[in-house]
Amino acid sequence: MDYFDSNFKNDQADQDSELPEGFSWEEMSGGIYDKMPNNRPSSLGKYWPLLILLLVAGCGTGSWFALNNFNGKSSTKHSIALDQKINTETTASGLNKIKTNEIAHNQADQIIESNLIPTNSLNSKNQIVKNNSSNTNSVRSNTLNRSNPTINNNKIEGQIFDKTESNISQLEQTTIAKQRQQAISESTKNETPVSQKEWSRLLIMPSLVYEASEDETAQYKIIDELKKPKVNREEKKDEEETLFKKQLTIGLAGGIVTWSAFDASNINHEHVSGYPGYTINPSIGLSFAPKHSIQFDYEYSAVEELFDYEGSREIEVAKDNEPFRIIHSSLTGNIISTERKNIVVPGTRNYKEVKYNQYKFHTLSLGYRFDQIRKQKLSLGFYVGASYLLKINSKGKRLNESLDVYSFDNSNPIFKNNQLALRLGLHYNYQLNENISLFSQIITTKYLSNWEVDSSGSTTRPFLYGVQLGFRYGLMK
Amino acid sequence: MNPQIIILCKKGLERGHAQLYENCAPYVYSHVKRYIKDVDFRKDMMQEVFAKVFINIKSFDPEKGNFNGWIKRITINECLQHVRKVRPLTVAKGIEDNFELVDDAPLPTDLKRKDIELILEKMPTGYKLVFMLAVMDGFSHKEIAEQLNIAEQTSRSQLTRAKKWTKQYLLSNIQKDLYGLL
Repeated sequence: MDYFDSNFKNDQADQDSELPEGFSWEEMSGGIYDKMPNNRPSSLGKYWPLLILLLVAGCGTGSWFALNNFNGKSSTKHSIALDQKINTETTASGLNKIKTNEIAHNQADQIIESNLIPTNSLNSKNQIVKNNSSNTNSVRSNTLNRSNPTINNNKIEGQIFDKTESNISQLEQTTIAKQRQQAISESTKNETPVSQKEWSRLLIMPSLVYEASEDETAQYKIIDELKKPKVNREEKKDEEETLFKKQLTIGLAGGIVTWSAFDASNINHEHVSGYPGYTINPSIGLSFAPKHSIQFDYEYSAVEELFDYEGSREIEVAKDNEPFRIIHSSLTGNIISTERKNIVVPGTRNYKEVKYNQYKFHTLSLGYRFDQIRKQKLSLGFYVGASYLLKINSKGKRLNESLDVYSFDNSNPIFKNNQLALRLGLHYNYQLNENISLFSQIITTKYLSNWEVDSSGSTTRPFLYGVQLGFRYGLMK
Repeated sequence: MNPQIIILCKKGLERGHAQLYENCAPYVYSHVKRYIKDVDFRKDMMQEVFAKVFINIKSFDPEKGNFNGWIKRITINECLQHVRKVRPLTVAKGIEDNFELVDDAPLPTDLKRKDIELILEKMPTGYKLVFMLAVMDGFSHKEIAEQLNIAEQTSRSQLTRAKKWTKQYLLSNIQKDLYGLL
């Protein structure tokens, strides 16, 4: 650089340039963002870890609700299926009965025909029919009774009929009746059609006794029994639990982690936070009950922090040979003697430092893990445990104003090792097969002790939080 | 430049953009106004420059150079792009192009900002651009040649002419000043 160039050096010449009017940020920002392809940046960039946490929590809660709803629906489905089963069985038994009754009815017809009993001798005819239908329930006769109420004047028969009706619900009765009607029509189709003459003779018959037979009572008992399997399933579940074997699981997860110290007190920081880093988390779990496990974790995390350290601190300053007693002449005012010694005076130390730190944590954790449902593919769970920080490796780069690195500070420990923390987690699993499950989890670790090496004037109790994805492999014991 | 501002910009936060603009706009403007004569267009150019800065700030590595140098490069590149678009560069070729003129004699006086502005205003446009790039912004002849799409030798000769002109201009003005003509 020659003398000529140095005179024209722009940086020197334009340091005191001022912006003309109309060039303020408020007036320019719109145009700047219009020229950027991604347009206006999000002011929520700082909170993206929180958004991820909320997203995962939302997914977890959603799946929990979904599971609950699914269980509800499945039980509803089960009852529908159960009702169908009941109806089918009822229909089947009804069909059998109809067929039986058909035979009985035919037999009755035969008896009627063979004995040539006059139509006006009601009692004897009733007796005959009653004898033949005592073991069966004739639907057709029931229909006949209903279609000829004027003919049916038998009070006993009516009482029996009412008693039977009250035993079953209206809905079931209607359904059964419909299905029976259908079954009758189908069965009559297959059999020899009843002639008009026979029908008219049947209709003339004064009454056919209808009563609940032993079989029919038994039929309703079947319905009650069919409604019981829930109890059986619970019993079965209990049996499964008693047959549960302890299971050893190994897991591996990885994800992002960041940290904040909301209650920090440093020279000029009340809140310290880092940039996201990564974490690797192998674990071993032992299930001592279907939903309950003890889990042991080792976690390796690496996070970063830009520490702009600016402020002042009250300190004591040692001064050598400071005059502490000066004797003046009362006449002239001149100093006669001065006593000096080394003294310590209060002072202020100003700091300004920009440092880019990277921390690597080695932690061990032991805790309890709960998994909501093991039978479902998706299940929600949580983790509560204690975490012990074994070691922190820290690397620091000191930066100047232009972010140039001017020194490395890897020798002095920034934070202390051997710290205790409370660890909480929320996870949900997706069971791939009997042995392997995938899971995602939110893990938070709150350190209870102060990390600062020099804890006299500053405190840092970090709160680590992150999201992990991983898998678990179950080994049967 | 406060590193925290750069970090905020790298995160894409508007707060960081605003702070960076407040800090750097005067510096950027000082370059823009030298290259862009149209006063109305300077605003547009400033927006172009800062849009480019915000987009590319993630690639800024403090270990490779300081921020002022980086932003200056972006500003000049943007300005040159515009200059090339608006007015194709015409660099007059002369016999000097065939050899390099060496004239590093010191200037007759120390220059102030006002003097520099005056010189640039008066300097013929033919070699003003090369002069600004080489002397004021520290570009090498190779870089100038690439930026302006001319031969390196041409860049050298243009610079020599510009320097010669500047010295003559200053000397004449000093003489005028001595005789009370200014």
